[in-house]
Amino acid sequence: MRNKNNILSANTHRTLWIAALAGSMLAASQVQAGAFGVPTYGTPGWGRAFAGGSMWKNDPSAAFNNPAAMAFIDHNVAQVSVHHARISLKYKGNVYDNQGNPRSDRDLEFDPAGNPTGNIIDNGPITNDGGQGGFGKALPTSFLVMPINDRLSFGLSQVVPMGAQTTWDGDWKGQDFAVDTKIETVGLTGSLSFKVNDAFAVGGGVIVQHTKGFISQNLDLLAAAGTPSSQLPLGLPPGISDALIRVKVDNTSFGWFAGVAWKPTSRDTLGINYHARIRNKLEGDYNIHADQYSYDLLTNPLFPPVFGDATAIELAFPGLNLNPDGADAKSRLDVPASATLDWVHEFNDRFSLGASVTWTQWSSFKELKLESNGNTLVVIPYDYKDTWMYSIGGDYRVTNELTLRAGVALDQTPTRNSTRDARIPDGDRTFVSFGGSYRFASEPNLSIDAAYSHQFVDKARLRTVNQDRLGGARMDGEVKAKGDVFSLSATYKF
Amino acid sequence: MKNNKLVSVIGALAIGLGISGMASAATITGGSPFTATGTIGVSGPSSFGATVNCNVVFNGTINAGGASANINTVTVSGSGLCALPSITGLPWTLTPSTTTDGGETWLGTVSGVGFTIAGAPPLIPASNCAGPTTINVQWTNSNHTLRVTSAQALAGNCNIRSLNVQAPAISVN
Repeated sequence: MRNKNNILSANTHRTLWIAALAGSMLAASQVQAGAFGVPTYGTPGWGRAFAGGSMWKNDPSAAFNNPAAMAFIDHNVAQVSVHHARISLKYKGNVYDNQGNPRSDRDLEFDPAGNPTGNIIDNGPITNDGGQGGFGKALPTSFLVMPINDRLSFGLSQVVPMGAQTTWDGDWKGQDFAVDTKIETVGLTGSLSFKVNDAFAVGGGVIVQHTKGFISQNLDLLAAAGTPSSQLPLGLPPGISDALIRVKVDNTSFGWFAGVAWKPTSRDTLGINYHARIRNKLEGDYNIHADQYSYDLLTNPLFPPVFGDATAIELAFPGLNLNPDGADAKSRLDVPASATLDWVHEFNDRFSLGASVTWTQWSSFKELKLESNGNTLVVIPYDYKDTWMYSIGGDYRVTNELTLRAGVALDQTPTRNSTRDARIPDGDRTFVSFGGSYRFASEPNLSIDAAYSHQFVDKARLRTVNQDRLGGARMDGEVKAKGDVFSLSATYKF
Repeated sequence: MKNNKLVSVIGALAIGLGISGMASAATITGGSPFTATGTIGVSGPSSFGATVNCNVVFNGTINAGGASANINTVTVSGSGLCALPSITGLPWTLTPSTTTDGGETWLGTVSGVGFTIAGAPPLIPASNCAGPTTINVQWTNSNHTLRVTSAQALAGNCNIRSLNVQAPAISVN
């Protein structure tokens, strides 16, 4: 029931909340979960480590996570959350070039005319472990649920279903594997629920999602020319070429989701939801920031009297054409399908417990393929595996104003030892979360939530061998990761 | 008188040494002209010091008496830089000299060896390794193989890192 004592009029409140929701949609980053998946909950959900999903009473995150549960919300409810993530990534280990030696930095010697003399200056093995590869950023998440009548409810949300970021030093020993990786998404959703009866409801919705991706890494061109699959087997010392390829792509795509909610008893709510795979064909461009020799290597014919107009790269890998001045780029990064079973049980009017199991079809992510003008530039295999996440958590209402909550979640990584790399050095993780809500006595329709979640991430072994056309280097090390998420939200019933 | 005796002794020694040297001199026998095929690995400024492995074919003839053979043509083929060298100093002369194991394996030299690669600025430096240079080689009768047992330096900062060619038609005795 709408509170008659609101200081602001209902219309004013609605306008402000819609403005807040719209504002929160302007920027999005990521709070990393398994691989590049991101939990899509408000602050209360983070405080319970996602246990029980959106089956909690009056939880507007049902608008995306399980629209069927909107049927059991009898007020307009809006919620704006801001999550600040601080993820730490540190690499420790070695990187070996394609000749089995520690990755070194080398330069060509040039004569006064600027032509190479043939001598190589060896600056020794690179010792830079990449620095702090993590990040700290904030992301907003917003939900709005509006009952239309006794059976139908409508929901809107802004979520971030996918995101990841790693930023390693540009001159680190693993520069041939990754320097920058950034995946950012923002999804806007609309959903409807239908209450079949007082105990059972169904719901569904659609999402329009905008995805931006950016990756960069060094291309060791001369090393690539010396790999076994090169048609120009020079065996040149690696570490000479400084050619940073930067790929920037984006796309807008659509998907759907559905769910059911069931109250078998007055104290239990069960829900199951399914979010379909979102096919995401990304388009954009790439360019290469190369030193002069590498630029010439990419653009000048290698030896016209013998090879005609072919560049060294074209000779080494027939069909591969890299344009340092930029060209179109295409890739694909689907959001995997997922399904979640949620359960919330009210032990009494103070204590409730929730549990969830989520399956994510990460096996749909086989490879990262980069194409340009119909040609395949590189295919990096990932071969992810399906994952499960288990969570349990609860709420304890201390007073009418204050509710405390906590939860823990175990989240499997979809990555494999053989293909895990420095772009997404993911490991199994455990979320341990705490939080609370405060409902103002003077404004009982308004509650403020806060949550803190710490991620304990298993060490991620990196034993990846790079693609030949990326230089064929090998990583042998591990990434230690940990994460903290601080979350704040305001929830308003009107 | 003493001087005459000394001359006679020295002469006898010289003749003796000559006879001894003739007794161990190598003789190349077999078909002439001959062909040797195999691989060669070379490095130089044009490869930035990296070894480039190529296929190689020698065509030659055994010189009169068999003490040496001329390599009249050298054809290098293969991918990448293998197409670039120009062979210099032909004919190269193969001269086996001493055996290390009673006639199965012979050490010797190939003289006149050299090659050049015209540079392609700004990508490929030139290699001027014309020399000519004499390199040490090893011949093995059982497999009719000519090879180098260690890297052989040429002029102009070039090296022959490996050589392994077979000439089934010839032997060294």
